[in-house]
Amino acid sequence: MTRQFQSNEIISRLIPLGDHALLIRFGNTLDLKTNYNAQAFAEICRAKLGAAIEGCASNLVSVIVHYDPKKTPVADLKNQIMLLMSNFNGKERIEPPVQHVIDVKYGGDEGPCLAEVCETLGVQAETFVNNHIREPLHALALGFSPGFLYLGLHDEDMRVSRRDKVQENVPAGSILFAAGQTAITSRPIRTGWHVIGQSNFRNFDPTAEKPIQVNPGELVQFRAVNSL
Amino acid sequence: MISSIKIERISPNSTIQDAGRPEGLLFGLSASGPMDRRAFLNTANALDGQGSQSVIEFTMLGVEFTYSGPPMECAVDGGEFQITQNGEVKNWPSLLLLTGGDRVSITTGRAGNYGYIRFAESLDIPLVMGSKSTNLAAGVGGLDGRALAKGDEITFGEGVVLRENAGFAKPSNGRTGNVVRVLAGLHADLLGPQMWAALFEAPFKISNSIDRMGFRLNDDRRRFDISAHKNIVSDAVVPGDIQILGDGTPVILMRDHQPIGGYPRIATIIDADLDYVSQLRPNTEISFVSTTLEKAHKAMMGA
Repeated sequence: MTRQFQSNEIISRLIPLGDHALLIRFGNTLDLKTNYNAQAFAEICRAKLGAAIEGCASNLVSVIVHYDPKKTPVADLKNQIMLLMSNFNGKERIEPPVQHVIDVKYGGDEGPCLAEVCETLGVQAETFVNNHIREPLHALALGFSPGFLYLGLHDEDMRVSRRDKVQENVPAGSILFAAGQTAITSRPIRTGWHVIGQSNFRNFDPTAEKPIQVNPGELVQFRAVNSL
Repeated sequence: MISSIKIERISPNSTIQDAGRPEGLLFGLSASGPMDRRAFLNTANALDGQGSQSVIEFTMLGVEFTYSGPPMECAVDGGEFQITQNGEVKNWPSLLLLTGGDRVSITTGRAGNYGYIRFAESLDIPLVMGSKSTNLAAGVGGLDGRALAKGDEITFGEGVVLRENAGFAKPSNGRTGNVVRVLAGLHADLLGPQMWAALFEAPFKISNSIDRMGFRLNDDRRRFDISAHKNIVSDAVVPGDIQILGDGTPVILMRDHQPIGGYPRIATIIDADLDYVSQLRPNTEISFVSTTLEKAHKAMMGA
């Protein structure tokens, strides 16, 4: 059996986050394999750690495990997690079918940063949009705000940094772009990402039995509804 | 007879809170819950653990309400507010016996940002994902996900026994003055020893921008520069994280923090000191001192 991690490696990947959480980090850069590993390991933690933890979720490249130090001494929890890690072989990447198609209106008042992004990348808006929709994107994580969906990854020729200035009151359904990823807001937020378009898609309904429509691991295809 | 209260006046961004919504993490929703858990718990203890699980969390300007129904107890605590019942001055904190027609007025006092009212009977508020806590940024929980407003009426359901919850902090120990203990944050190594040392070299001031999501700090020295770290991978956030924004502003992330963030976190305030921080008013000085995980856990257990 080939092991994913050597024991000395495991320790360096298990990081305390405050005094009520541990972070298990699978890499410092975001790629699909790292992201899959985080999703798979979060499932294992939820199944195996049970009552010893207060909650667990996958992030882009890591898993957060919340614990109550009064119930579970951190040394015990670390040992349990290291044991799980030593038996974790990583997840085989299985390409899921496209489950979600989302229509996007690119640019204009609802995508005010599109021109700036195109200028940074040195491409025409039409080329950018074609690149943006050329492949389905993987749902990488939920976070930042309820239902906020991180999608990726874009190729190297589609990468821009976050903005220096935060934009306030970016509406729900906005398509955000930065750091090789696209995100969709489901609530009005403030953000340092570039706002490049708008959709009718809302990934969060607290009254629904399943509050979230798109979960990590699923595939999303964008469709442009306007021509530029 | 259904008993109820009517809000006659209330400070902005006051909300319904209970112990929180840990399940929300799976949906990109932070746990919420009271900003000052110690005061929240004190109101439960004042009612011998027989009161409502959910409370009114009011902000700095307080709240005024009228009560109708048969006699019922309520406990108030948090910060140092002033309180009257039918015009008569009461102590703070207090256990009050309300009778129909009573009018309770709470106004700002010497200290504190957040106060709590816990009634003996449960607030008739729908559970959303297992909790009544309001997350204003998300628009979830409480009264339609919004802040409480003048004219709101809240009725009471049956009294409930509080669920056993061992998660509450005792009074913090070992903290002196406005010195708050921190652990190294997720990106402390990335930001490097100079910025880590700068965190401790002089106090910050609490800015005017404070809410349940975060407390921004004023830093006259402008000691943080994260221009080299704009493309770090977004990662998990916990309450108490000290995040540095693109312009160098430090922000202490609070109960309604975003679950994942892309700005670097230099340090995390220990659990035992976070309630205290939540009550620091704008323009108050705050300093940090480094501690260890072991000491943080001891402080939390009240050792």
